[in-house]
Amino acid sequence: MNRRDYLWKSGGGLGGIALSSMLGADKLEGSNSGPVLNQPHHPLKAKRVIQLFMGGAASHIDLFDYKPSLIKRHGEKSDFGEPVEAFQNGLGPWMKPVWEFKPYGSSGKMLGETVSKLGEVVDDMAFIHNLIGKTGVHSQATYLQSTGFDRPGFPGMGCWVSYGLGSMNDNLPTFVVLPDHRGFASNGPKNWGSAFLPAENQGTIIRLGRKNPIPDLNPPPEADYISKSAESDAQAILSKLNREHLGSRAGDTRLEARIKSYELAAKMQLAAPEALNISNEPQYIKDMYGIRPDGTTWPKEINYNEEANHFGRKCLVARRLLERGVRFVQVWSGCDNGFPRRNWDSHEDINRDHGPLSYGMAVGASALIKDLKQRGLLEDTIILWTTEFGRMPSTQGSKGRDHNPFVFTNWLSGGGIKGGVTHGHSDQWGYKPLDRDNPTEVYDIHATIMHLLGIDHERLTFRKDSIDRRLTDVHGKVIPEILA
Amino acid sequence: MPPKYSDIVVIITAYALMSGSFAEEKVEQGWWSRESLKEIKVPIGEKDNSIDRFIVSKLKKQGLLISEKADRRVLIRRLYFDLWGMPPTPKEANSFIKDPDPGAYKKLVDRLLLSPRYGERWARHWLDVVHYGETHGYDKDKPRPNAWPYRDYVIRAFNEDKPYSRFIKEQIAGDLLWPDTVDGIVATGFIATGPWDFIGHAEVPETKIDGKVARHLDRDDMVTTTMNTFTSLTVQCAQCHDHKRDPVTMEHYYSLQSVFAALDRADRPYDVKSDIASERQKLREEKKQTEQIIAENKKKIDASRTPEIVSLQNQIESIEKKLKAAKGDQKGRSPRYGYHSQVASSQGTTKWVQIDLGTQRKISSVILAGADEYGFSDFGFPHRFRLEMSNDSEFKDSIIIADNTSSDFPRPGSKPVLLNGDGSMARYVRLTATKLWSRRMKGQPETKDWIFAMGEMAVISDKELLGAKEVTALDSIEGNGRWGKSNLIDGIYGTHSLESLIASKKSKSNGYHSAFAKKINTRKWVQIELPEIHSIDKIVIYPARPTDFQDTPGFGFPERFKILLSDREDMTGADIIINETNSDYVNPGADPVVFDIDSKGGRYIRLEATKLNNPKGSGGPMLALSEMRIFSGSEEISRNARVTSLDTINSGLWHRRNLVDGYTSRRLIVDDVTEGLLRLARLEPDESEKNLKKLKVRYKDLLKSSIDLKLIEEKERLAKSLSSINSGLNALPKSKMVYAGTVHSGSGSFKGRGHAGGKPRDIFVLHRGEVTDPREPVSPGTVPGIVPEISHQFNLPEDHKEGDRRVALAEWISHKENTLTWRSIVNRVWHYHFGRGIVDTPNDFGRIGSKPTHPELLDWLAIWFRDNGGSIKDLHRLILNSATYKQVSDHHQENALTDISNKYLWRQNRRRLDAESLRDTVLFVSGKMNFEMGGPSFKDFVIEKPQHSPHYQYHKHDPDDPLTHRRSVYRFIVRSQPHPFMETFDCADPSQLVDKRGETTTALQALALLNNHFMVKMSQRFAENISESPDPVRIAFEAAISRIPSEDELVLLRSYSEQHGLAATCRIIFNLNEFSFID
Repeated sequence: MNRRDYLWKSGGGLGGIALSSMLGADKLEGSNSGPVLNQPHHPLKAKRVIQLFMGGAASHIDLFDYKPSLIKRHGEKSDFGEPVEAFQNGLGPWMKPVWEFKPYGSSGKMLGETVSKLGEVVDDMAFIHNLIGKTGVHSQATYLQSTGFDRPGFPGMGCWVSYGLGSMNDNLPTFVVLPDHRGFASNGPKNWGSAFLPAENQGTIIRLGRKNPIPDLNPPPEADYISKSAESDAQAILSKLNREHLGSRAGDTRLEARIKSYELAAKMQLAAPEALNISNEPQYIKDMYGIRPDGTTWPKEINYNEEANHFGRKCLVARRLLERGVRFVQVWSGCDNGFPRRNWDSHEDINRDHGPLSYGMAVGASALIKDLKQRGLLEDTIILWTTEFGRMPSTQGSKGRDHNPFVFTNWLSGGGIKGGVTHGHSDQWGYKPLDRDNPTEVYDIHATIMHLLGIDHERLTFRKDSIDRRLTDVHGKVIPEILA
Repeated sequence: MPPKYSDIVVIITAYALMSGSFAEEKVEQGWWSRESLKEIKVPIGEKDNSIDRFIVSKLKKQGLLISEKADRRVLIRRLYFDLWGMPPTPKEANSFIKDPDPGAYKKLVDRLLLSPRYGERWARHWLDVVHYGETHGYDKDKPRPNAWPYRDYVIRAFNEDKPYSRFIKEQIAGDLLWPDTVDGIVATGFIATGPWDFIGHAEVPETKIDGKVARHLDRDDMVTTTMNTFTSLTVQCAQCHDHKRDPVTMEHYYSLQSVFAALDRADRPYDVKSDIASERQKLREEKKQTEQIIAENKKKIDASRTPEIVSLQNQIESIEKKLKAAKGDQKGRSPRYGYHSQVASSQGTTKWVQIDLGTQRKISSVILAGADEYGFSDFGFPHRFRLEMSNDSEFKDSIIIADNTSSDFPRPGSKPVLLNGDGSMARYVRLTATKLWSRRMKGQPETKDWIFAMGEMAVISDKELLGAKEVTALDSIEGNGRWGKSNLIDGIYGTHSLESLIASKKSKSNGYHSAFAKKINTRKWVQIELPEIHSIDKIVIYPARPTDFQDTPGFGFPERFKILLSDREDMTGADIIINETNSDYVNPGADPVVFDIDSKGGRYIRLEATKLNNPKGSGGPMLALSEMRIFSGSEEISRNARVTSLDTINSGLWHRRNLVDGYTSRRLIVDDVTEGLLRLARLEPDESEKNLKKLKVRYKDLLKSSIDLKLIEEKERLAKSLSSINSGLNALPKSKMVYAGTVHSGSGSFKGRGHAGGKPRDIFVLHRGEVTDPREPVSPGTVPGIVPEISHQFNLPEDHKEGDRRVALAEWISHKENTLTWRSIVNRVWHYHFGRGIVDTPNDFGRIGSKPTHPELLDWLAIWFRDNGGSIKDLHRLILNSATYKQVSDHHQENALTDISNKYLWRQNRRRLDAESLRDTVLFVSGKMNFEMGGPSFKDFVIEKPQHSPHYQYHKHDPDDPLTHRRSVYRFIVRSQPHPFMETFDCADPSQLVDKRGETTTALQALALLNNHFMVKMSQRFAENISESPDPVRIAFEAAISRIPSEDELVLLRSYSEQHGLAATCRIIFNLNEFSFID
């Protein structure tokens, strides 16, 4: 289906009825909204995705990618064997991982102590250590990992999944974004914007902790003239007058769709607060996610428990949204590059920022995997942990690390993913892939996830400016080694 | 024979597809949009309006019937939204409906077109297409405070009905074609409308790969925007094809990039009043002429100078330069200031910053240069400090070089502070501040913000300025490029490069260049003859990097070579001191290559290449080097020595002697910089100023006695007239700024081409679009075959100005015979009147785009429009007065069976309000609309953390803020964080070229219309606005819907109003389907 067909499918003429984000099974008669794929390209293994995105670029060598050579050569002059164009010229001596590595699980996967919580679920995780990016520029790298293109103007992965598969509920968005509570990472909402895809596929931002986590869900408090009865009477009048208006304008399905959208909005007003309310979750669940009671006060400096609390809340809400039929949830850790650092861009001091951030991430992510598993949801939910790029094995300053777009790590877990495996290796320093000719790229990660969702990534396309665009550009191959 | 256009289209579409996958369309012979525009006969028919004849004849063929004319109530609402983006007032609607004049409709069209509201509405369409935005996008999405003059230009152009060809030319090259008009300058804001990667330009230099990528993407956006907008030709993806069979089309794409190759996006000045613009132009002209005469006069004077005068003059100039530099010339100010500690709460806090030299080095002196900020040139320079060196990064064991911790150090001002080391060996140098400075602006009282800042710290070993491996500090503020540890060693002293401070000249020579060889495995040598036998300790070779050729670091550097040392010129019995002949040597690029020799004696040093480098564009394999320096100990012994070689080209900037002239291809070699730095640090400004006065007196006396007095008088007269011209220029009102495509002159990483006199960058076909793989160079041009009369290669004279390229492109696009331009614009106008173009892909008339539903009508309109002077308003009149436009939008069962999508226009299309019309209507009927036109955009957000990556907080905006109650076209458009309300209603995404907007229906829209704080507030204001009227519910309905409500509707709404209030009722009206859809 191309853009023209899409827009002209409805008999009403202009514009397609694009309601699928809310419609799901409740599809409009006569309209052709909803998913573009009437059925998957092949049998699917997973239905849902959670993407955990570490803004600022998380260090692979301090968390997941164990490099004994760095420990052995710590402090020695770094020698990459070739000229290196580093982002800020951070090419100091080799620097060993900040945290001690130990084996975990029956797979014996080596993990840095700061993410040891993930050790409890490591046999459900698949690591990829030979991922490469394109540039060391935050913005371009973030775009690349979130949209598959290194410049603005392309839909996020969640948008493509929404576009292809549509919704599994009738009262919540299809694609939800839980940004870092401190602000957006590089590019902000452009990372989950629908770009040329129909707008209903874009990520809906839910800001936990704000008074209105979903903007406009309810009238603002100052609108005291809108009482409960005024609201329900208004809905009734709107429905009546809009139906009369429709009566004399047969054949225009947009008008009916719009009436429906008000009914759906009303359903969402009930469903969303319920989905976001974690107060009735049992205490042991909250503890597992590292969640502290509301109103806990925190020190000014970045710290371990606060990071766990915030990230854990997002993970728990993500689980609740998935349970209620949301298809794609994106969870962000780290905001933009202000000072003091509140993201993973540890040019100055890995321990200072990576410590709390990675600990908090590990608590939330391991709880999420365990929780999904105990509910039987892990088998058809994919979790992807990703970041902009990695960090250099040499120091910048005495304690920091510069950008490393040449190699970094992703891990996946859940629906259709083989647990306890490592695919692809970096070289002895964690500087570039061990096999430089066969690295893994974001396209391969995207292709694999689409594959597990029953989508042939080469066949889910949208025509824009003469090009049949797709998530994976002209690249991408499924990675069989990590499939269960 | 040049390829036919039909071939080219195939190639282009093929390229266009490479970045995605092939769209499966059958390739046909010929293509409609490349056919030249030929006279079309209007079909015979009953209708007066030619459009109707085309439409009706096509409908007939399909067995369809045109629908009846809509009534006046429907028509006036349709017209108002179409031309103004707002509804009529009930009064306007009623008087039109009751107007007995049969020509009332035609008059209404004319009236609406005359109103400035029309330009505001239609400019928004244009801004969609050209992706106008007011922030850069990407990371660090910073505002463009001067983007709006372009937006005002577009509004003005529509309101004034600017002829379309002029509209085209102004936007591409108005600055050259009409330089003394406001429109001529601000229209070029068009070139800069799109996103721009701040980091990729401002923080990464063009020499780095990331910097090259950013600039390539930038040009791509300029080409894409221009070609899609004006010609509906999607050339943009011809950049990355790897098909060697069809190089032609990549060449076309890159020749279009070449048109924009001198430009960057930046603020450029313009004058609002044309008399001031021409006055400024006149004065600039006079200034140029006067300066020329001054130069001639100087030449004459110089010719009669005695050696003593020459020497005096040189002394005076050199002192003046240094004094000027010491005072700080704001022009050359670097954006990199230096190191800045974090703020301490007490003055006695100790802070330190240190340099790691990488290895132990002998330290003879250290120079500290203050930072230049807030009016100080010693900003943050500590009152007390000590300087230590150590071999231990923790400084457990250190030697103190300078201890100024017991009393306050005199404020150094702009003069660098020289601290003498004792020549000890150390790896680390640490500067520790023990008494901090109070951060403030010049003239302000001291604050309690105690800081330590430093512009530059230079460590010198003998004569060598040592490179530093890294800088560490107790703490540091790493802010927006200005402050950062690494800026302590970036060669920027205070705010100036050392080069500019000591006024060292740029290099005038490239270096040595052998004759060309046929094969790369050819032996070539070049040899230095020392005055006598020396013990050689070190050889430093600087690769060539020609300045009169494309930038090629490492140009001609041998792939394999050896260095021989001998006592005899013919090299008999030579020692091979360096042997790199067994494998290829990695080309060092811009970096010098250092060979440490273990004290070998000899007089002749020969570099012999056994395998030559053959860079792209070069005449063949050859040996080239910019400089070769031989050291004995730390003393250079080869400067200006005799150089011989097997052969040489000795031409232009190449000469044997340039191998030892002390310059690389680019600049003075670092030793001289060190000397200059030491001189600068030792210079006592006071003394030199006194000295200067004495010298000047002596100089004048000498001049009088030896040079023709008339010349001297003329000189003085000229100086006076120049100064009067300058004060005339200064007295003119300050220019305004517009963010535009312009030749930029900047410093730091974002230099632009201003420093190269506006010379465009060299553009090459980039293999697979990779900046690291440039192939053939291209010259400015465009796609062939579209204007048969004009060569697609612009064939500009050798000495053409950059703008001539844009003028050529503008002429090509606006050419009468251009097969795309005229079709493109009439189709766009049609698209906005019917919701669908005759070609449904307005940005793409290629094979992958749609075909026209009414090709004859399209061509007829294109010719009609072109030959009637390109008046868009006339085109509106023609369309709006057609029966086709005036049809009802009602469904018709039988017609729908044949043509459900209404391709053939058997009815008008019902349209949903776009985001801007929706917001404007709400403001208007609420009585809040402020019709102030133009000027800076209103911001309906709160901007937080603007220093780094601004946060645009829409939810913190007060919807009652009257400053924001302007028409939506004046809204400040943020790229990275779109306005949530507007975005919900499918407003244009300024990161994409939007030829037609999406139209979605979502529950989020319902929620936004019901609950967004703007809507909730405006429902109240709407109610207040009409509460005094006798029948407010009815008035509210009429104002918003342009229709008298039925009795049933009235009863229902009135009873609701009685129960829940008028504001809640207004809120319902805003949420009616009928409010959002125009029949």
